Amino acid sequence: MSEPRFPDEPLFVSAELTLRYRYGAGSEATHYLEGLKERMAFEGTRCPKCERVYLPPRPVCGICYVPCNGWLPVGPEGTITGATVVEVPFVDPVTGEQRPVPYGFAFILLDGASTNIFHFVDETDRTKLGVGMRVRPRFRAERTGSITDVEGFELIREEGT
Amino acid sequence: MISPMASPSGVAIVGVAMSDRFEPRTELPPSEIVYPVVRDALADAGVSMDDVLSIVSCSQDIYDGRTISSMGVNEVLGGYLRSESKVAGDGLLALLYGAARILSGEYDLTVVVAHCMESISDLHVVENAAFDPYIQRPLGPDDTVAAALQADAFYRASGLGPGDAAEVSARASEHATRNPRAFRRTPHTAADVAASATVCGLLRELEGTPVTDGACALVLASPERAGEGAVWLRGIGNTTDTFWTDRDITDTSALRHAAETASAQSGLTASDCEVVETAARWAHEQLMHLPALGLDAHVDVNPSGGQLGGCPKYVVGLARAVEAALRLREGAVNALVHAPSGIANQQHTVAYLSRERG
Amino acid sequence: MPDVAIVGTGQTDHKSRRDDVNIPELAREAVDRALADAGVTFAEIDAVCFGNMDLFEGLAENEHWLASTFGAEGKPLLKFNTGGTVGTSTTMGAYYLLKAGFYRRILAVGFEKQAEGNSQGAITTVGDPIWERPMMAGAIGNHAVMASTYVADSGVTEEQAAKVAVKARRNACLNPHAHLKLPDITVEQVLESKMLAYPLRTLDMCPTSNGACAMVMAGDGHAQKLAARPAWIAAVASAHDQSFQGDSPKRMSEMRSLIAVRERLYAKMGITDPVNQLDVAEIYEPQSYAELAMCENLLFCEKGGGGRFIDAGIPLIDGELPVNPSGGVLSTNPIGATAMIRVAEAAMQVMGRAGDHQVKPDVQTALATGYGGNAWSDALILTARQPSR
Repeated sequence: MSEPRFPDEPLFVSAELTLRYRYGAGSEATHYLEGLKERMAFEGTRCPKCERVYLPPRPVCGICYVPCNGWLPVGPEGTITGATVVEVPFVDPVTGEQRPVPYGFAFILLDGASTNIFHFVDETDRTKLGVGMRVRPRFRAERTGSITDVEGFELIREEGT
Repeated sequence: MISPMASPSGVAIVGVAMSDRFEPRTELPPSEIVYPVVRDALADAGVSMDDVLSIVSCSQDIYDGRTISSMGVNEVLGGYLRSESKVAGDGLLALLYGAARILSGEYDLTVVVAHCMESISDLHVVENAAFDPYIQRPLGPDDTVAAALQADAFYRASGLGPGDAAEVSARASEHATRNPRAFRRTPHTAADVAASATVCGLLRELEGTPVTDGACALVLASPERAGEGAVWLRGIGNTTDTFWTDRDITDTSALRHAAETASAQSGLTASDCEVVETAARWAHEQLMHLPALGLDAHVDVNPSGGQLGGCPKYVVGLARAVEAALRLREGAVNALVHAPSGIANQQHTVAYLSRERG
Repeated sequence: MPDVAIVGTGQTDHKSRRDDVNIPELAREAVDRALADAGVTFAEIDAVCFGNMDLFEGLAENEHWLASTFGAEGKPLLKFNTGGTVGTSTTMGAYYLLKAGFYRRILAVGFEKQAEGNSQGAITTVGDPIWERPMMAGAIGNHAVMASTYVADSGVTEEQAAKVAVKARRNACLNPHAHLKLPDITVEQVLESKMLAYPLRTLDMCPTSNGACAMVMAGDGHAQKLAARPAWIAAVASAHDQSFQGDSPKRMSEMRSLIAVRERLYAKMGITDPVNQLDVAEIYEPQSYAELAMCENLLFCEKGGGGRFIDAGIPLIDGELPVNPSGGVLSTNPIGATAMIRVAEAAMQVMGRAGDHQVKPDVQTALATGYGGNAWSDALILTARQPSR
């Protein structure tokens, strides 16, 4: 038997992996999402020991390792703690399509919360977007009790600007 | 080589916990399955998370639907500012690594925790991802197909048959009815197994394992930290065989080697153990494993009902260790624990637990 | 509880694509080089620790498929996939298994063949599906936001960050394995490269590489037979953070996990003046601003002083404390290997095997760090002197 002949071009095996998951939302989700839908309001869970207020809400404070024991309203306004204008395309996990660029994106500390959330901000001029600026949420007109009921945040602009 | 666990060294199991019941809990995120188990294991050990600096976790990203699956549970297993690392394999490998952290002398306590969600994905797709991507995956195999091929080959080689597996399954279901954690609640007979739906090849539905979710945790301690009532890890061996299509899948030499490693470390053999907890996802696997562990194939083992009673993959090995530890606390002296992993059980971990320090 | 050392390392030449090898062959290149560097064969290896983000290549449980590639038949095989830190997680797993006395010699391997998968798709699953995923902006969006907080805190300028990017790609020219070698790169070029998300430009970011790294590690009594100058692992530390990406208030500028590991390592080693007590550092810097922030958190300079630190030339390859003489993550990033490459490069410095990027003939103390997950940190200190002697 003669020596095996390998092709000049490398062979590729193409494969597509479609993974579908039913992700459990957990015990905090119903209360929180109801707040978004019904009242356009945010609430965080509070640690009885360190008194941190968590957003996203969670049943356990990982710093103290004790269960959180209640809800506290936070926001709706907040302060930017880090911000950028994204110019590189990224596949939106919700739509599966490329998200149009540019878009503002920030870490936001809602008033009263101890942790940041991240969200879109309606400013694409990076010289007008920065740490310390105040923002307020923009809710969808039609809300379904989903995390995306919050469309994004808008800068609270001073009168006359 | 002197066993790393020989006195004055040693690894004690001072706390254990498992999900109240292994069952599908699709509505829960992994964090809510893991937290009560870690909390309860710490309480069982009489220690607080403040005393803990080291954690070894175990989970499989593709089952959770999250890359770095330990991130989703890190806050609830005490990861904040602590040294936590995830082993992606059977939970008994996490036990091996956790034991190493104790024996290294750097930690006097280590929490070992495994979790798995089997119910939130399409297991056929998930299992298929572990096959050779070039020449096997496109044919669409999954763990059941591999198990069916193994069962067929095993029956031809051994002279045993589906009836023997049906007996194993029936006995397991009967034990499971006495275990509040097991998913199976009603026993079935060998005849019920034979009459149940064909899944693949010779495999019938009732001789397999139901789909479940759950978690399990142990608290390991150094001898200085262990108190009365501690259970000792006396030996632990892990051995890997070649990929399933590169070997005779009726061959159990990797299991035999892992068992010999654990025996050499502990000075114990299977015949010293009143309790044997060995994982098998399909009943015929137990018929293969017991002789490699030094026992007759038909011996009645798994007082918990074993994996066949319902226990998720990757958790199952650690859950066998927890069940064994509980039996030791109730009066047994020595226990043998085993779980395989990989397609057609390519890799095996065997451990000996004892109430005696040795 | 024997001391543990690295006695041999191997890497592939990291590249944008490796169409000439399949996945097992890619990993095997580094394995063969590490075995050769240590002067051992598979017969001398007792166990294998392997790290890889299998989901990035659309694979799962691939340690079983790759058992023969690593010579793991008949041996224990542990798999890790902890994200960016996987290379240091794998190293630490091997370290503890050796320190426990379970095994004498372990082969540690990490690789990534990202060109063959959908890394972005897999990385998206890092985000919590309920709370985070719909708003994710990718790794670059996150890094840019973190960098902006650091800029606001420290006043670090674009030029100073660009100097880090220049240092990395010039150092890479001295490293035959490095991916991005840019001998003529200038600060101006970095500032003219495409803006991805302010302040991060293309040349501020790490590349996506295909490559592998392997190390042979051994316990006391065995290490000395394999290397004239083993790189002893004198201290290891690891710390994680909370669940969500916004939990750490100043995620990069005051990285809680890095501060925690720094405190533990420096206390154990009696380090109070790292610039003078460390001879070299290989730190896991995913982007240029991060390197400066990490240097602050590691106390290489005062808080807010990262810009002045690079301006003074201290972390240059001929500076008082060379940082990433290998070119770092900014030059080479096959995710499953990246953190292990930090350890391997630090080991090569201690062992005197770093060739053209050897910072000085006698490296006594080297620091290696890993970064990944949700602002997680691993760190190791390697020494020429055996810890217990």
